[in-house]
Amino acid sequence: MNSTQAAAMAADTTDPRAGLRAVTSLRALADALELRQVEAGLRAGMTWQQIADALGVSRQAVHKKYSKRIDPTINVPRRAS
Amino acid sequence: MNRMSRIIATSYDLTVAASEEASRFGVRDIEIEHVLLALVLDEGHAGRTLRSAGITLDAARSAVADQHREQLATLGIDTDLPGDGRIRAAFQNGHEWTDRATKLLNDSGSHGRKGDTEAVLRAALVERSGTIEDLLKRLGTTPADVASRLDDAPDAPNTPPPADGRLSRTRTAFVPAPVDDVWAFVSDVERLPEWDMNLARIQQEHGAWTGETRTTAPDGKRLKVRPNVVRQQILRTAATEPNHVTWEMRYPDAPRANRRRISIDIDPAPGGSRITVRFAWVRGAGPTGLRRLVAPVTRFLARPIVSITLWVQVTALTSAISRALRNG
Repeated sequence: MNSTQAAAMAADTTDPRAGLRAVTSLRALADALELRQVEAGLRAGMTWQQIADALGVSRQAVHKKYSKRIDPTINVPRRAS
Repeated sequence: MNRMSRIIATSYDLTVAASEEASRFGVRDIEIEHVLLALVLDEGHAGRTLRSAGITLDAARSAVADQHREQLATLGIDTDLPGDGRIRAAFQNGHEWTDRATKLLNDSGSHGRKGDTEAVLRAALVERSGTIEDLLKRLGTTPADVASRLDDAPDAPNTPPPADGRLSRTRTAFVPAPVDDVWAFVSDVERLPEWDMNLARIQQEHGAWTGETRTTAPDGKRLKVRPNVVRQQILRTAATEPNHVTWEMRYPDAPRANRRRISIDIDPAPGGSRITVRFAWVRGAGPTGLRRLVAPVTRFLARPIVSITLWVQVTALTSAISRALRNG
C-alpha cells in the first residue's frame, strides 16, 4: 500500500462506528510505542527532562504517566535537571 | 463474603489477570478486551461459561490481536501492537483502567448487582462499542449465546476447599494448562522461586534444599527481613502425583519461629486445571521470656492484619502459578 492509499483509507468516514473503534487501536498502538521509547530513552541514560522535551510535554507530565509504568529493573536517575 | 468484599476481590483478581494480559500486547492501560481475557481465566461461573462456549485463552488472545491488526489496517497501518507476547506485569503497579473498562466494574456492582465476575461478564456482553461483540463473533459465539449459557444453572462447584483456620487461607483458581504440566511445575523444588516470591533462590547443600529469603524487591528497594529468617530449609512433606503437593519452609536460624506451609491440589477442569492453594503459618514454639506473656495480646491485636496478609500471600502464590503457566 502506498502512502496515498493509506491516507485515503485512514480518512474513510463511510462507517464511523468501525472508524472510531479503529482509532482506539491506533491509540493503543501510540501508547505502546510511547512506553517503549520512554523505556529505551531511560535505558540509554536520558533524563525525564530530556524525554519530556522530546515528547513536547512537561517533565512532571511524563514522570507522572511513566514513573510506575516502566520496567522496574531500569535504573532511573533520582533527579535530573 | 459480603457484597463489598466480593467487589474488592473481583476488582483485585481482574486487575491482576487483565494487567498481565495487557502487558503481552505492550500496553499498560487495562481495556475491555483485557477484562474479557481475564474473565476467560476466571474460576467462577463466568469463566466456566466462556470456556463451555469453546473459548480458550489462546484463541481469545489471538482474537484480540487480530481485531487490533485489522482495525489498524483500516487506517492504513500494517502492524500488530508491539508487545512480545510475554507477561511483564509482575510486581508492577502502573496499570490503569480505561474509562470504559472502569464502567464495566462499576456497572457490575451497581443497581443491586452482585459485583462478582459473572456480573462483570454480563456488563461486558451489553458493552456498547461493539468491541466485545466483535471478539465473541471471532470466537464463534455471540453475546446472546453467552448470556443464555450464563442463565443456565451454574454447575455445582467441585469439592469445596477445607475451612481455613486463623493462620491459613485457601484460594482456588483456573489455570489453562493440563494437570500434568501444573504438577511438573509446582512439584519441582528447583522451580519454587518462580512462583514463591518469598524465595530469591534455592540451592542444594549436603543433599538438602535450602532457600534464601528475598531481601530486594524487583525495583531494587530493600525489603525489611530479619537476618535470622533469611535462610530457609525446604521440605516436600507430601506428594501424590499428579494431584497434590505440600511444601514446608522452616527457618533453621530461628527455630522457634512459625513455619510456612503451602499445599496445592490439582484437579482436571474443562480447558485446563483447577488449583486449590492453601497457605498456612504453622505455629512454632513462639517467643520466650516476657514476650511470651504478651504474645496472646499481640496475636489478638494483630488478627485483622494477619487476616489480610494471609489473603495477600495466598493470592500472590496463586497468581504467580497461573502467570508462569500462561507464560510458558
